Amino acid sequence: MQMVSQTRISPRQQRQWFTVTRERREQQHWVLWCKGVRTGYVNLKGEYQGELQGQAIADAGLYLGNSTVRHPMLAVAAALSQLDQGFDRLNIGCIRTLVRENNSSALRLNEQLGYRLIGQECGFFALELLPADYYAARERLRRFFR
Amino acid sequence: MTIALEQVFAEALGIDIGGVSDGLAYNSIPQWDSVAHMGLIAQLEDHYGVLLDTDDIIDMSSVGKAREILAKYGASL
Repeated sequence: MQMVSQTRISPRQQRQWFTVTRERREQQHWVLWCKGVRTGYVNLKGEYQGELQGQAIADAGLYLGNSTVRHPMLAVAAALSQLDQGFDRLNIGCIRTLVRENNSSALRLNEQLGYRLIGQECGFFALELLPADYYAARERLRRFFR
Repeated sequence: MTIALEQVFAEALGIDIGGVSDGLAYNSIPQWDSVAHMGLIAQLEDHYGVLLDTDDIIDMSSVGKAREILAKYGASL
């Protein structure tokens, strides 16, 4: 998965981002751990200020680093965890995401997760996922986690 | 009929069989991504009549590793 912004972030900018972000109730951010190693990051951001819980629409971000524990099912596991949180626990009505047009792996994975294409702009595809589509897709994907 | 492991990989990943060797690893070619990996696992299970544990699905990160894991299940490679 690729960050939307590809610009370099300084340590100071990162600390500022962290300070601001942890105060925002319409966003939730999670670090992905695998075998004791931090290997990625996911977030959900509601479209309105206020609690993320129950929002009609949220944007999803998912990023994996090149860690020593990265494996072929990591992106799938990360996405399922993120979407379970979004739909099962936070009762979000619809989850949207942006994927670079040239990121074919992310597009293929999102399609498997039930996302549908809703637009295309500035080198990105806009995708949308509804709970019913996710739950149908989840049943197919969960067979690989026994 | 026993199907060569290389043939299963070639079909699952949509690549020429000549490009399949024990050194071929996940993410080393664009065709072997997470979605292709799930298809590969399904095909390996069908062809060899095995049901892989999740840890083995995760660890199957190269053709050589797949050979090693499938041998553990008694698959005829």
